[in-house]
Amino acid sequence: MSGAIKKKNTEMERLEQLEGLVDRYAQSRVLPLLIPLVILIFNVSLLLYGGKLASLIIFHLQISMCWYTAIILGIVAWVLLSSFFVTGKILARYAGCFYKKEGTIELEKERTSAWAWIAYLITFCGSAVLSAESILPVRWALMISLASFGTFMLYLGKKHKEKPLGVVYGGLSLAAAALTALGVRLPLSAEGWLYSYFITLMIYFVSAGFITAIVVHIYNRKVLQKIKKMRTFSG
Amino acid sequence: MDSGKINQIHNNIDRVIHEPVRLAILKILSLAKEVDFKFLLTTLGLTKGNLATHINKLEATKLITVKKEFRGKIPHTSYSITNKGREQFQEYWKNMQELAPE
Repeated sequence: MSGAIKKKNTEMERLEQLEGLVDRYAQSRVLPLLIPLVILIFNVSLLLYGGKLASLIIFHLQISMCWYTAIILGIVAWVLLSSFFVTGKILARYAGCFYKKEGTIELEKERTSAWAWIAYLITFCGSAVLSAESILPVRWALMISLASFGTFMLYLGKKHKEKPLGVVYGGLSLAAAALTALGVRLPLSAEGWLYSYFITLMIYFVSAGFITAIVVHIYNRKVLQKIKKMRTFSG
Repeated sequence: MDSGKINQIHNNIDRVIHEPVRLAILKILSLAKEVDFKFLLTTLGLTKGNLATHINKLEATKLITVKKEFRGKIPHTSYSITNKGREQFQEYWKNMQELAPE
């Protein structure tokens, strides 16, 4: 019987290995992150160039200036709506498309604590408001915002079973926060608050987001390759 | 461990679970809330017919539940492990670990 037990033992080790790999593979399906990133780029561009866009539309269509206000209000309404509702709906509808061919897995997620949200929003928005009011230097405000975002991403990654995303995005944010605190030159520091704080932060979010999506997706492919190599069931 | 205990565990082994493919299916399902047919195909590398046969056996013994729905016009089947399935699988795993040589 010991031979059979030994064989079963190796099989159990193999199953545990498979479980670990499947878990890592399921947690690193990160491409849906591209949806909010693209919406973020679109929204920031709209906010930056909304006025010029409205003027162009009015000039070409030869319509009254009332439309200018209407277009600007429309842009602001879209930015707010998309930030709070539309992105979620688009994500829910299209996130599954990215890994459709490989099937879907829904992992058991833990609820995000309200206190974590409160702490994150207070530190993130608080630093933004204080720097806009020139109470806090932009460099420190950026450092606090990045550190709070990084910590929150690490927390979300653990709670939402998206550890690789949380670790890479959170890690990049914390590294950027550390570099900012150490005095690395800020690219848009000579401009006003909108550029030196807001746009710098947006550029950071988007670029770090894309790096995260690429790195975690490569990791995901590697894990899938490993799974394919070990899946030799005789059943 | 004495041979009497080994024999006792051996006799109590659940024959539905004690099969490599079904063990792997249960192991994956125990990780998640819900998994679909394609995902199991991708991760286990079986043929559709083979996987369906094993799933039917697990469903017949109420170790897993099957949810069939339409997503648009496309049928979609997903599976989740039942409480009974989880308990029996844990029990099986514990027994096998006890049997494993130190």
